[in-house]
Amino acid sequence: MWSVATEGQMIKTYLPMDYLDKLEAEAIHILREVAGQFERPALLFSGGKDSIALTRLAEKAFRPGKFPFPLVHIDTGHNFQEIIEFRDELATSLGEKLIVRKVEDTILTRGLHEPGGKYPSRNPLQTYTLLDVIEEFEFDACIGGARRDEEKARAKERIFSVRDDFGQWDPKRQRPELWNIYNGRIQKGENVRVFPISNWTELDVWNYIQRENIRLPDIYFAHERQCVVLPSGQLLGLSEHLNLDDTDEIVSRRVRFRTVGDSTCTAAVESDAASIDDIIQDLLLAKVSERGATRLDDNLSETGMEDRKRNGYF
Amino acid sequence: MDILRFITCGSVDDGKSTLIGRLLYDSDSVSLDVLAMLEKRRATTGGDVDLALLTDGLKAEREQGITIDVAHKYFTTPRRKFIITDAPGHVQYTRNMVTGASNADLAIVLVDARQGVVEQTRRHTLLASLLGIRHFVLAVNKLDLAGYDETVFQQIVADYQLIAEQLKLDHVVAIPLSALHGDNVVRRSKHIAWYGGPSLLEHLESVPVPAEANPYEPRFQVQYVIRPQTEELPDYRG
Repeated sequence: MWSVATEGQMIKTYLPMDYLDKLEAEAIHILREVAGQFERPALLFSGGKDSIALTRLAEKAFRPGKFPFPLVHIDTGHNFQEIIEFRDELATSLGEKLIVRKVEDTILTRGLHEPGGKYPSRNPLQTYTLLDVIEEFEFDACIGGARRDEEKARAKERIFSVRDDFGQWDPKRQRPELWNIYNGRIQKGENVRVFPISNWTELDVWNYIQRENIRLPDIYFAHERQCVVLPSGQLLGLSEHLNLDDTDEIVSRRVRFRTVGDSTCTAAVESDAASIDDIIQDLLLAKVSERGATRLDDNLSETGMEDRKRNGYF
Repeated sequence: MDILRFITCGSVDDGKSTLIGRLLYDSDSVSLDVLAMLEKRRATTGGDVDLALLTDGLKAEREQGITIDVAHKYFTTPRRKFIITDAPGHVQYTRNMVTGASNADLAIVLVDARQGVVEQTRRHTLLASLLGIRHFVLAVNKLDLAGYDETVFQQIVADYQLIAEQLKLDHVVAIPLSALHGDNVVRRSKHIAWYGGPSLLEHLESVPVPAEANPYEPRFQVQYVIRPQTEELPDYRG
């Protein structure tokens, strides 16, 4: 009965939780649901800020126990070196199992074509490696750090997103997902992609990183870097994987990465933000979205993400 | 700062996606690259920028000009973080609307001023109330097409009042607006001078967020048992 409480008690209980507490509680609930409902889950770990935040949430969900899932990294071979080092250090300090599978190996075993062009992106090929690793370990649930605010196709996806035998997303087959009840029942061969921070925005993630004092790879903070100026005006960090010619303009700029994917398809943004506080200030003033500022692959077509998801992409 | 989760519902073509688009656009929550994408679309189709494209994220939705599944959008004002669920209006996609409504604190029920209260208005209001939503906004949209006429608005409010009474809805606020032109969405409209209440956003910023759960009849949900079984914690269960 609501009426049993005195006025004083009501006020105390109804003080709203801080909004980050609410987002955190939702994410922890989802992570524990995965642990409770699935036999062989995995946490897809990219080394980016979102998946690093996920590991902190997993600590909150499962310590003092171990994570009920390994960290899985799909290494495109085009990752930033700093990210790879950070990944290994983090896995060691967490004391959790890390599984790494390389896109390079998938290219060889499946006889795939190495992408060409000036900025060869192995990003689309990751899907094959991901599907292979899911099959190899028979993962029934893969947790990822995707957020609905990133992109309009992601904005449509459920938190428990069922994929068929081939990892494909079919928007027409999305299932009901009511309140905080998540349905993990699947057919053999199917798997579920789970997105605990679906309802977080880029700014929420940074606010959380600040509150929790989460350590990040240095490339998120302003530093001098040799960059190639793209026709769009975006800056791409110079790397051995690019096939540049004499026409390319190389400049040295003070930049940071707003999102971290392949070095060949993630652009840097000019910034002086050297601390988390600075970055939050930067974001409050930013006029361009995270993916718009940094992703070369989404700009290929209006349905870039939807098409890739339909093919099994994360 | 707290979070308000709300859903937009009502019949097909009552302008739900356009309303969300307008809310995002007028509160400066749309980034430049996304605006450029909209502009590109406008250039190929002609006419005004189609704000509904901000939420209709699936290829099939943009092709057919309808909303099929719920989309989630986010924006923040100095007062609040908002999580928006844009629900489809078609009867055959009602199940998707239910998924969206289950996590909303407030429902904006849109009514086309020219059509008045229709079957979907009733259905969505009933479902939203059944799923536990306590706060409703009756958004009488497209008032520009009804000459910003107060009697049109008052008639719809009276019709909806019957539904609200039947379902025992205690918190219903009616707002006359035009999502297409932005009247009373973020800013109060000079076209609707006879209305003295808040704009939609002003209302959303001030409506109390319902409590998370009933704290006096707690339910203890066991999701998973943590049993590390290490030397230091040989018999821990959490």
